[in-house]
Amino acid sequence: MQSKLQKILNLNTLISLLGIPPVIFSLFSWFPRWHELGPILGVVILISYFIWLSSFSIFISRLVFSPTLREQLLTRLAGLKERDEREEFIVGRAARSSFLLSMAATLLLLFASTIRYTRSSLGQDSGYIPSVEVGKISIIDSDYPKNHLVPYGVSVYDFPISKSAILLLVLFTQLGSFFFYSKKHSMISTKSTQGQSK
Amino acid sequence: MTKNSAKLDIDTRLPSFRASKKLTQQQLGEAIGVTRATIIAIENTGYNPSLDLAFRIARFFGVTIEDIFFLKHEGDVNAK
Repeated sequence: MQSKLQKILNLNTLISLLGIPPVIFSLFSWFPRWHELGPILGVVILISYFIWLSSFSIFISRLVFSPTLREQLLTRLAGLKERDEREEFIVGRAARSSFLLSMAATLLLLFASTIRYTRSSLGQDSGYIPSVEVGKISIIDSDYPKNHLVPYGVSVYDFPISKSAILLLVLFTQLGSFFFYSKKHSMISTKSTQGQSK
Repeated sequence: MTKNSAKLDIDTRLPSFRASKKLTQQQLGEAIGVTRATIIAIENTGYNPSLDLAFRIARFFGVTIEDIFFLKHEGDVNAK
């Protein structure tokens, strides 16, 4: 019974992991939409996507609630090697540096997310009035409400912190910085050792 | 960091102990359950092993920890 459950969970993990690359590629604009791929292939892709989505929902929940799965999968993903106390020390130092860097990056993104640039168009020949807000405070303020002008159109530009690409960037920053600091701390603790193995 | 928490400058006689037993860093590492890189780090870069590992090294050579590790400013008085 338990081995059957284990097989199902392994299948869940496999389907979830295999589906991640195509889904990441599908975030890019050059990736074809499913309905552009023809009736049969499109439907096959759509059904596969729904299977993956259901599987992935379960997988993500398992990843959040199961420490064992996290340990098995994320340590491999992050390339953690803790074969002895020195490597545990290196992982600790690298994790500390990486945590601080990704925290700083997240704070930067959080600050960037509060900045909003708005262009209120006043018609074809009347130009536009810009407005920049940081949080609720306007830095460059448009004066059309004072002049009782009605904007023709409004374009808003802000930093989409909740977009997948930004989250992916944060994830890669974490992983990249962890690899970098692991190598750095590893090199510090074994510097000038080439050819020393006697 | 307070004045008293400054790191002690610890040196090692591990290379000479290892040489006396004609062991490579790899062989010593395998014998005491660490990687070769850890032996290299202890011997060459002043990496301070834990008390647990220090005991394992000392036991392996049949000596005390202080025979292998010593404070630099006290000098290598027990040199073998």
